Amino acid sequence: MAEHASPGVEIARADGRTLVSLRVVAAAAKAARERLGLSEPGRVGQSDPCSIWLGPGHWLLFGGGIGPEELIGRCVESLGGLVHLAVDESAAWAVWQVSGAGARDALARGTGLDLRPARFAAGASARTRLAGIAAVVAALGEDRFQVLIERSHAAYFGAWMADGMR
Amino acid sequence: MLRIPCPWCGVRDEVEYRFGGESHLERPAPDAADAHWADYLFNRDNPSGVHHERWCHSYGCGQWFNLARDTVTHQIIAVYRMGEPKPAAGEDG
Amino acid sequence: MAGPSYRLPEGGWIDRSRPLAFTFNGRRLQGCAGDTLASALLAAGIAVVGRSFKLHRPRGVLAASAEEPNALVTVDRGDGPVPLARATLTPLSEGLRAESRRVFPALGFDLARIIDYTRALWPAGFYNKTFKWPSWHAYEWALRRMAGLGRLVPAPDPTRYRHVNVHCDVLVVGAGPAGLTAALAAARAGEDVLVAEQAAEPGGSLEYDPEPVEGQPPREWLAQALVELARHPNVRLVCGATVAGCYDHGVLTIHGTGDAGESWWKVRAGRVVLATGAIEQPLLFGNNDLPGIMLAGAVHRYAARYGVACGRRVIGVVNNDLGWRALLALSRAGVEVVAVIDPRPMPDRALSAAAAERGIALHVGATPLTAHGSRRVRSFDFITADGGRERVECDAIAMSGGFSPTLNLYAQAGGRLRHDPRLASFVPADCRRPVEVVGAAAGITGGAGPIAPAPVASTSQWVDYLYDVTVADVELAVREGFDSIEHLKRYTTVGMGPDQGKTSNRNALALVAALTGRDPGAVGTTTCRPPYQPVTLGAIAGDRRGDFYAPARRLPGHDWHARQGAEFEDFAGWKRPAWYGRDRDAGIAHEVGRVRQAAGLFDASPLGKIEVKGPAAAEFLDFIYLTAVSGLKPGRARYAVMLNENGVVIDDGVCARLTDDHFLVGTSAANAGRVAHWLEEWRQCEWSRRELIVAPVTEQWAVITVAGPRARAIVQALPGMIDLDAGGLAPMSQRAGRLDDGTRYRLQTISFSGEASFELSLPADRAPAVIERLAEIGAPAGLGPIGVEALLVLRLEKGHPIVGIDTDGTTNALDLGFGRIVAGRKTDFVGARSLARPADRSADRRQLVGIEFDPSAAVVAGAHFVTAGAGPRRSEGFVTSAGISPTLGKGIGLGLLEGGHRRRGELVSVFDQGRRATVRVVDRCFYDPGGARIRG
Repeated sequence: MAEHASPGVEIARADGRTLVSLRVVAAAAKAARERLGLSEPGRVGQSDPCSIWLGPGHWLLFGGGIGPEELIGRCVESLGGLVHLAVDESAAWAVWQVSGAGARDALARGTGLDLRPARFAAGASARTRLAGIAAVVAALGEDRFQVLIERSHAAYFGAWMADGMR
Repeated sequence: MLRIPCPWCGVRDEVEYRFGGESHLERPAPDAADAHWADYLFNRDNPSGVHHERWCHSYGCGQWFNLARDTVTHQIIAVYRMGEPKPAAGEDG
Repeated sequence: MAGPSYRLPEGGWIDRSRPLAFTFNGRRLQGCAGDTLASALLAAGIAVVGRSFKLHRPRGVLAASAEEPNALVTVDRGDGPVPLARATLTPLSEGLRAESRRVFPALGFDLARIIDYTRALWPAGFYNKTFKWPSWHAYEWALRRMAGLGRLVPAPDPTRYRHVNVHCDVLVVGAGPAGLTAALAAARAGEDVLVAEQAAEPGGSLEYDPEPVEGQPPREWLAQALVELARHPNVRLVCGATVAGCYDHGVLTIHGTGDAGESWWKVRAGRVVLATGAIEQPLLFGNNDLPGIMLAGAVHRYAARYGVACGRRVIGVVNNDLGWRALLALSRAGVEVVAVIDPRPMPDRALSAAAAERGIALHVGATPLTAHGSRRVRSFDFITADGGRERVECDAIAMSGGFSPTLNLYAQAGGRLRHDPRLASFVPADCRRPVEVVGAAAGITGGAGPIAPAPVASTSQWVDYLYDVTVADVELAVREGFDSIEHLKRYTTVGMGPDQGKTSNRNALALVAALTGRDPGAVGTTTCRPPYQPVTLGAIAGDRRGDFYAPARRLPGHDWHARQGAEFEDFAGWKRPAWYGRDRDAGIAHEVGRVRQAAGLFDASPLGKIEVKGPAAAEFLDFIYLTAVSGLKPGRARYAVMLNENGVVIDDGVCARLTDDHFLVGTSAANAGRVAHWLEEWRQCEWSRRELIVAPVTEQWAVITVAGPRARAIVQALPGMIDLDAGGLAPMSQRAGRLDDGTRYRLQTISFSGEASFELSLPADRAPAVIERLAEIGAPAGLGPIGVEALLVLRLEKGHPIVGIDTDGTTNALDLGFGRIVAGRKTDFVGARSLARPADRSADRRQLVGIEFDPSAAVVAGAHFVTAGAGPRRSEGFVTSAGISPTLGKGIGLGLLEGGHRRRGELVSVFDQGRRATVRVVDRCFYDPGGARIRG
């Protein structure tokens, strides 16, 4: 029998956090990472501000209870003199929590990303193509994932995830 | 489907990438002759063997990079960043 | 049709206590749990399971696995019919309904069988030769009716299809003894292992082969292997899963079937182990396609695995030792084997002694001739070693013409094959990819024997059962010069059926080699391409159908628009309100009037928004745009056009300067992603040494445009809005601020409609509330929503072209009338050099013009401008947009017309599908050319 069922998957919308996208020019990337404690390539960081590496010199910062202006202000303060751009993206993303023993299989329906536990353990993050759209996938725990997709795709993505659990 | 090693994100499916054609093209100066400009616009190498080409990891980190790929076997011989010279191993193509 | 049961009194891995009822062509039958459809049909004594494709000859089950060419049936388990299912791989289930293909009007008496009696008319290449006079079409309707292997069902397909993506260190193909051994070794080494088995259960030859494995009885060894594999967490064994294709870089596809539906797997494997076994091949003799004539290994397998006797009086016609082994095992399993006929003068002595001991008549050094029978084999003729012709009565023939290793996936992986004369088969030679071949697939000893047609009519000896190719067809093809194996395949269609020649390619190859006096290795094989087995299209599509076929984007204010009665349509991946209300034309006209007389609210959120920042930003954008923007003052905006390197216009939009080193690039909705990518490409590949940042922010900002004579007052009434009259907020200005409720906004005074217009950008999550507020404030002033269709009319009245609608891939900046801007540029920009080429500067190019016409004239987008005069006319371009302006009451449009810029005032003929009309070439702007209304 081909294995189909994705038992033990829970999905939940987790919008509402402050998100700021920070880009710095290549020459300033190292300094920016050190000054703000930003995450390494392919990782989701744990320090404050918590960040996901999105590309060279590009991070998504999570505001721990502070608003976008304050978080952008922190960036400007820390990066004084470095060419950078921090923009509010709090409304640009739909954030989902996907968890449960079947979470990896549920996501693997739609992405070629190697989600084997040994290759994508807690703390790993990746931008990829999921269900045909751009997505950021971060492993928060052994079977707990955060998935970010562009907000305009939220209705589509929610329906797609629900269809997989049918 | 190819499996392409992004210098930043590791090996991913071809569907995450955008192909950018032959790499190492030199954009002519604005006063270039018509023939020189036409060569830049339209003429490309089509080797049976090693091809140096640009790819962008558009669904991933968004970075452009170079690939030396054998067009016969699809073997990927080298991956290197934009602006870097062709690797020596690929010169025989 | 069916006689009494052919089930053996004992034996087999079936559960006799669990009977399963099923139907075949409407007839109620019974099998047991553990049966395949094929074994259940054989147990019920069903000899004829289908008719052949071309000649409609009756055909029975030939094989016991994937290679089956005859028992292709339509199977319905209650969730819709699946055509072309192999009965040999279809697990029997309660209530299963099966129907044979090509039964017209009934399986027992097939009218089209008449074709068989006139088969001289249907030689190889028949469709190229026979149906030429008077025309192919005279025959087409009848042939189309008879052709085909299944029937399409028009009803929606209820089957569940899923995609599965898997990564593993090693993929093992086949769960027979060789595959399981390889899987165990990899599992013990700690590798991630995926084992794919096409049958419904693992085991392969362990299910019937009595030979011990590692000193253990095969079934015990299998049970232990499965227990150990199940203990390894990194091992996944999947049955009913056929590996369909092997591609570059370790990518393989698997077609999975089972109770839960079908699945399509993409596997990324570090290495591949092929344990795909070998397929027994038929022998060539007269009427070798009669029902009851089966592969010897299959006859044995049905007895040992399913407890089914394929006949009550079986004879063996074999040319190799493995065939003898199968017959002996069959005899031991309780099936009556009466004779063995082997063309070899000296078969293995121990085997022949064992056969003689079991009372089997031995005919060695014999020449097989022909089988007899109509709907089932009745007897077999052969010439004995001493030259006499003999006939033996039988109801089944177990034949073995040797074995062919299954190397399709190996060849797909780029592996080369070599012909091994000792094994009389192709075996793996070398492969540059990490693909290992184990077990019988690597070559099987004891399975080789002489291959030659029998000395009887070659038209009665079948090479390809599925596509009805005979020895005579191969001979004809070779005579006509099609002796390359690839030509032979295409000319005779041998191996081109859904079975891809699993039981025919080998014999075709041997025949060509013999007929042309070449070595089989020199003849070679045809190219193996995916899929190995037919795959349901639904499985490949997976869940990407219906709403999931193309992911749709929704506006932040989607629900509000829906409440206003929006009719949503797809525009470049977005669901956008096309118009509001039930009546399309009335709705659009009403919305246009609303903007011209009061105010309209348009959701422009899909417009692309890209922030560009850094010391090099101004210089970079001057290079990217045709229109220089470095002269803009902060707070000001400019309409700007982008070209590609050919000078062709690729997008237009508004570029605003936020601060000295910070710009906001606006793109059209359709090109938002493309332009962001375009800027990144130039930044990374040509401007990498400059300090420059490109940040697309389209998703963050909803854009609500309020346009019309009352727009200013409505927007001004938003609590917290800046003073729109102060500071000379002229058209093409950019401001930022914060509403009373804390909502940050950006405001641009940009007009696409020709009226005073305020484009308000809001964080997407705040947009619904602000839209409500605006609608409430504006309602007394006549504010209402407008859709995309109304905006298209409004912009046409203003003569604004849309890139991609009013331009195509040849339209350059000069064709759009930007000559003065091009001439004024001092620095290089993308496409500049191309605009200097003589052909790009020609005055005869297709240039964008406005057209006017009588509202009653039939002028539509796509109509061609044609030269005047009698006789054949030449196209001079085409209309790109056209409509009746509700504001102006006349027909207006845009078009690309040869030499259009110098033809102002000219009357031009347009032609569309036989209808003609006349239009006048005019200036592009039809409404308020002075722009007084924009200033409000």
